[in-house]
Amino acid sequence: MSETKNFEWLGGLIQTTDTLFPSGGYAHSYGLEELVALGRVNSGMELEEFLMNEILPALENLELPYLRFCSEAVKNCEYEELINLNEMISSWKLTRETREAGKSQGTQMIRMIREVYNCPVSAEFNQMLQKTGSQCQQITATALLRNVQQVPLKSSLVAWIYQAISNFCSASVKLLRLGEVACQKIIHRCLEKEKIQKVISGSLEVKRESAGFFNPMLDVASARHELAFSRLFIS
Amino acid sequence: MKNTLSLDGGVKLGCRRNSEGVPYLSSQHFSPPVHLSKPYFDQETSSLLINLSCPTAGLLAGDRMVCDIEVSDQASMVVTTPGATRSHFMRSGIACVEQRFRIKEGAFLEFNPGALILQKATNLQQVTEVEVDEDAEVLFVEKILPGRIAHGESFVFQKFSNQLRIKQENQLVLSESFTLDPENESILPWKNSFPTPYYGSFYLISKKLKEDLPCREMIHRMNSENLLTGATSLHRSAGWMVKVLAGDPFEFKRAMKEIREHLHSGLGRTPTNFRRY
Repeated sequence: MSETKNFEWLGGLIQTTDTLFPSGGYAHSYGLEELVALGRVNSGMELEEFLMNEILPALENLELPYLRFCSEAVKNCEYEELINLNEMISSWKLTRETREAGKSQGTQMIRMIREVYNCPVSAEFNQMLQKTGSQCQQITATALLRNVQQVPLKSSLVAWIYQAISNFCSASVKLLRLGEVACQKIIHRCLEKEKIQKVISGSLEVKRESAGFFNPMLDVASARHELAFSRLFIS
Repeated sequence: MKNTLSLDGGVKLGCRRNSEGVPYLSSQHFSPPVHLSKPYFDQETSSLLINLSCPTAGLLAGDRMVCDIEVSDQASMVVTTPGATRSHFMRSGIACVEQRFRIKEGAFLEFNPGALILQKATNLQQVTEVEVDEDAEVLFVEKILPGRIAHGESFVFQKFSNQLRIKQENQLVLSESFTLDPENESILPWKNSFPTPYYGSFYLISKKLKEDLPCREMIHRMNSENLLTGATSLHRSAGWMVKVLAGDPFEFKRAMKEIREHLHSGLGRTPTNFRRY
């Protein structure tokens, strides 16, 4: 296999997808905690089914296309468009907890971009966004971060998939008492070459007007989690 | 090939109040596949009740149905249908439903039709836009069945694409969009929720309920072995969304009725009787 010479961006990508990077993802289960409480996900096998059948398709049809739309807007310096996309993301995150999770992680990421990188684009966008009274969604902030890191689009999408899957698996260590090896095996199977290729190529076909995914079960779980009597995770 | 039997029609309604404060249809136009019942003024709730019926069997390939409703001048209007809307078998082509609702000047609209049934091999595209003024209120309700469940028909439709956008004061507060295709994973979360899953959703926009939905805990407590309910606030605190998944028709009907009553109570309103006999 020939190794690409252009790998300067790889270090930054690894650094910012690593759990040491303070993205705040560890505090969220994105509805999984309530799915477990409802008895809908009870084991490693059911977690894997949930990730394969519900999360990967949602990434393919909704989150990855929006990461691409945001990346294109950043690349073309279309800040008004990026603000519109940020609003769209807040409006399709149907439950308060997922919406707020996206905002808090996005805000944290913008802060980290400012601290770690010299990124006038992010600074300018953040100023514009603050004038509208909105908060930056994680997808929007990730597009800004990958732009300053000069990460190619497909690699950004793969990193997003990895983070999404590993966040659920990380939560499942507490929720399902899954061991580290079991989690790594699940992550590995979710990231298998053919699967990733299908998700990425599918996501690249999705147009703005058709981006979306239907998961009423997860919506109900996420909504119920807001009033849950006891909980380990913010979402 | 264009289906010469297909219909391109719908309903366009305007609702205002007369000098005595009674809501009336200030404008109306309808054509097949929609027929309009005689409007009924419900004195108890001061609402104008409209039943939209479908003189054809339901939606067929090539049909395009437009529903355009504007309620203004503090009028209160409730729109429903006498029964379910069936989207039928389609050998080729698709049916399109376009819905636009504008609620202005302190008005109230409840749009609460019967369930949409996605029958075998149907291919339906539905787009809905709701625009609400800051001082207006809307309760928009969707009920979807994945087939004629009583006949053992479930998830054998061809495709269903649904887009809903709600704006308050010209700002987007909800955007829900999906395409369901039984040939791929898109249906799995719904299909796996119950062996025969009934789906319903309420979208409530009102400045009265910006901070809190008093009935929220009651809605969550309705959960049972055959019923899942969840209520959450919308973007910009514009209102609330309540989602319902049920494993049987009786539980579903009961839950939808009870949640409707709770939400009306939250608005300080009484639900209008649909007068389905």
